[in-house]
Amino acid sequence: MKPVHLIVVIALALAGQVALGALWPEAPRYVDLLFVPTAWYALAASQRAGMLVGCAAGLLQDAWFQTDVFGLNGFNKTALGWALGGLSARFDVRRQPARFAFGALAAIADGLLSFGLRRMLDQTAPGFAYGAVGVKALVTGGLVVLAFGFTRRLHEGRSSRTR
Amino acid sequence: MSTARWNAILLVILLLSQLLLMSGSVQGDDGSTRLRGWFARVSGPVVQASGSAGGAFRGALGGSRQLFGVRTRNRELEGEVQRLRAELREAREAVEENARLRRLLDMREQLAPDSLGASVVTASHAGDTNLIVIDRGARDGVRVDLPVVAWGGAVGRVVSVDAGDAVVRLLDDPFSGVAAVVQRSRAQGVVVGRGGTVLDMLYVPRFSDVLHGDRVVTSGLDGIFPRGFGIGRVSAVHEVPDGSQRIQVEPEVDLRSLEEVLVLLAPPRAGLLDPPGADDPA
Repeated sequence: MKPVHLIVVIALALAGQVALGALWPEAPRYVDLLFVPTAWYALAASQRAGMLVGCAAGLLQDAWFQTDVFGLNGFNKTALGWALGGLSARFDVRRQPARFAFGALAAIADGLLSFGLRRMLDQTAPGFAYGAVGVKALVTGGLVVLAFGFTRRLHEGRSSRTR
Repeated sequence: MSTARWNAILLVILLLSQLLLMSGSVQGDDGSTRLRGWFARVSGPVVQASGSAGGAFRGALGGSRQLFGVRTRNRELEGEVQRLRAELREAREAVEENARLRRLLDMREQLAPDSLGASVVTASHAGDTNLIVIDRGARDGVRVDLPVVAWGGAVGRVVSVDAGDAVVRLLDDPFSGVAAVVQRSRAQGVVVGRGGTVLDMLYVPRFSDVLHGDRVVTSGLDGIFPRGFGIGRVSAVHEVPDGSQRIQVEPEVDLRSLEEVLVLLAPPRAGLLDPPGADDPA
């Protein structure tokens, strides 16, 4: 894990999230692009990498979008990066369905954590949005699969150029 | 340490840091941050316990300080009470003295205008010599053989004079003698002292009418006491072999507790005088 790559990836994810929000204001309810690098690093690299990337991406998200509870996304993504990293060491995540499932489960866990933390902090939460979280889980799972596909392609292209 | 453990430690650190960030960014209804609220909640029991302990300590300290103050105050108040009691005693003395002097003044105005008030300085009641010393002397016009009276009647006569004081021989002195008369029957005699608390009236004729309770006053025949000053009341009548009666007389004036007296500088108005307030059983 090179820091430059990490920064570039997170910056790209942030830019994509910003662009998506600008195009469709309701998008952040269903899509969280900054979760993709977290899941990717946790599943592909290591538990620590997933944790640190999640922390950085979440805090950046909190700062950029001025979340009502600063640190909420950082907390969630750190915990989920750590959890995904731990799961990847115990399960076979080389298959796309498994990556999709882990991505989707992580998105659901993210929704639950956000809901619980807001409740714990006495923040007015409009109730658990099952539909939005379900959509988000599917989108995140798909994005994780896509990210792995993209990186594999990228890796393959680099390997062929090297040969 | 294993990588997993390091990761767990790092996770805890990161999560705690972000929890702090979250709690610091969220404000409660009272405007305080959630972090402060949590800290207050966690540290509340400790603060409360230490506050209670401190309160108890302060209470004990304050109590002991208060107790010390109360003791000091108590001592002050006890001293104040003693002082006030002494003042009260002095005030009562002054009231009594005032009453005595007022009576003496009345007597002086009514019975003996030309008289001199005097205070008793010392007294001797040894039995064979019953004397008092008054604080008036030759400088004040006091002379030997001047009669001395008090509220209620005759007291004695001056027997020696110095410049500033004089010695008065009381009626109950064995060497004193006063010409007397029974006020009711006009029976005459001489009242002498016996050294005790009772006087004797001698030389009263056997057939004179003398009854128990009769009042005996000065007759003025001795040339010292003016007539009419009370001496006492008859308490017993005895016949003696020489054909006379010996009459016991209880002095009207308490000769053992004299404090203020009058020295009669000149004979008072003529006539038999009754001291103010003296009741006559006849």
